[in-house]
Amino acid sequence: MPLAFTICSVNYLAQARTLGDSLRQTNPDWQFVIGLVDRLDGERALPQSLYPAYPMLEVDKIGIPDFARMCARYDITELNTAVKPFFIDYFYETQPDLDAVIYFDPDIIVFQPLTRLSESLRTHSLVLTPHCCSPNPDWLLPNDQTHLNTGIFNLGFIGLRHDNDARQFVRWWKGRLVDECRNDLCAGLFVDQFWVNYAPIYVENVLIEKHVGYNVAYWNLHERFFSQRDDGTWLVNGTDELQFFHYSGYGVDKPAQVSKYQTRYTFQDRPDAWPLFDLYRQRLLDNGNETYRQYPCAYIKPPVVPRYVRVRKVLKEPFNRLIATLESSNGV
Amino acid sequence: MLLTVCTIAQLPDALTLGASFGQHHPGQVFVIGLADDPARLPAEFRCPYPLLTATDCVSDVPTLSSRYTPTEFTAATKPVFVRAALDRFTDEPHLLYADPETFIYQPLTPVLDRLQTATVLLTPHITRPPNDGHWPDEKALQNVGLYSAGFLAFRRGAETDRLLAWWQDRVRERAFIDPCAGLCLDQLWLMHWLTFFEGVRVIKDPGWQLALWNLPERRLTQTPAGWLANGLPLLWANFRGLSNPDAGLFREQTRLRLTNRPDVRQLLTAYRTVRLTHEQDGLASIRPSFGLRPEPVILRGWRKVAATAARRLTRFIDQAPLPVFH
Repeated sequence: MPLAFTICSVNYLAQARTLGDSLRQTNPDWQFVIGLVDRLDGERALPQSLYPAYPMLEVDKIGIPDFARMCARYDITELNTAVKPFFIDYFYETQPDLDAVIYFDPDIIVFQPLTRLSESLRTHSLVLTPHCCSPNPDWLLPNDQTHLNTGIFNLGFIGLRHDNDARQFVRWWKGRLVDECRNDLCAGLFVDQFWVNYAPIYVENVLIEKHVGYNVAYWNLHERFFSQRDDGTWLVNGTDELQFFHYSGYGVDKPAQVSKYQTRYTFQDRPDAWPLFDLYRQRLLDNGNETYRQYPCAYIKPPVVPRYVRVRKVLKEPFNRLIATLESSNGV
Repeated sequence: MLLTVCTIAQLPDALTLGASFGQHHPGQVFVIGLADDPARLPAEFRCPYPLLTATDCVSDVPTLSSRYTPTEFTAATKPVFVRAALDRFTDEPHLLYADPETFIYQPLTPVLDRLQTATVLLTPHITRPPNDGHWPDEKALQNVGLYSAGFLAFRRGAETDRLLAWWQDRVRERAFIDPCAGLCLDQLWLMHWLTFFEGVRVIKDPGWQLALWNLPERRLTQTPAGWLANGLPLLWANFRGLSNPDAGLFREQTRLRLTNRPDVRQLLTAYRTVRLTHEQDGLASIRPSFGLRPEPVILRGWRKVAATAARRLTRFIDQAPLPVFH
């Protein structure tokens, strides 16, 4: 039986619960675990009424070597993404009879029994979803260039079979994310996601899943249009059943905005997408979004305020001039 | 059909490639796409192969030329030349592209065999994690693209047409080398091919596209039947960055040390000897006419040390914690 899990802090538990509810409804025999990048000890304990119906696994309980160093090094987004393969490996280790581990971002909900995914994981070591399966129509955000330094595949989802190839990949991924789960595009780094570009090269048996019902999100709206069958089933492009939708960058407080990360569509352009977002907004509110979002994460750090910017600039000046001189001369 | 794209100065490389191809595929078409001004060719130069020129194939050369360095200009014209070659030689069912510094050692039949069931073939720069602290590391390769644009194989058809139209459109304005923006020549765009197009295959065979970037994971042996790479027949090698250390994206690589690799030295010496026979007076010294922006300066020796130290200092000045006075 596969295990599905998500990772979040307490402030995102409404999302995690909504995902869990959707899975329980569509795939009732699957295990679902919430990996919690937060702490619930002492004063941070949640009132009973806010405990989700799903098991929660706190990140400091899964034996990440040098976790303290990762906390010190990373901001909250980097930390939340860096622990992904560590959770996967923990599930492999502690539940040896699992046949697959599936990760979903907390802001995903599942619409159908994922039988196609289960089938795929019988014959493939990894299942990955590209952001887009076809070129973008313009240079609004996101576009074909955006994914070139952030990653071809979206790591809001990954399916991994419990086999040696997948485990070797997870070991490699963990190794990279200890130090280099940063958001530093110039250095070739974008959290956990960019690294997975290597998967089709390093791993023999990767399925690049182009089914248009998978991981539907703002980055692939240009190639996916929505409709409903009479029985309420959501369809993509009139034929394929919607499997899972990823509400990345959508906020209950800004219900008129498709995502804070995109500039291509409004709901006026895409009335077909509106009901999918509206139903999600309602479910988040029903699941206590307004309460959970008040909880600050235990691992959050004060933002770094750069000081003495002008002084530093003056100090750097002679060195920058030296670099410019060296790089403009053709060398003798 | 085999195509290469080069400047006038790279013609000796291209002629060497053409001769090695002709040896294993006698009578088959070898085309040169000249990303340069044909008016600058020496009067006595006679090209033994069909020559497509930027002036004939590329629309609005002056605009493109003012936008790019010569390296970027050449990259931006590659898909245009692929299209032009397919349009000119309409009987050819396949098109193979190889960098001019390529040398063919065996018939390329295995490539054509693979194209029976694939639309496009790609070769990755590396096939396993290097994990050795050398440069380029995995993140540096992400900035230039994980698949090499130094060798590409296309089967003629609707999907290839679709791919070429898209690629050509993207590189016309976005073939800059600019890692922060997610751009690197025509090559970084290859990252989308597996997901945007059908029938794209990644080939990891050690006998394909032996090159500077993958030699550390491949051992060469010479046998009476020819060179083997990791025990399999060597079909072709790309000498970019090896025959001329100032060329290519891996000028500062530290992984391959020729002093420890007599096998590579032997292969390289043999290549240089053959290439010498294709040198013609003056060709190599003709500077590229297109790509008006200057190429970045390559720092070596003390200049490189000084620039690296200065960069480290500025980074320290940026990040050093300073006490706060109120």
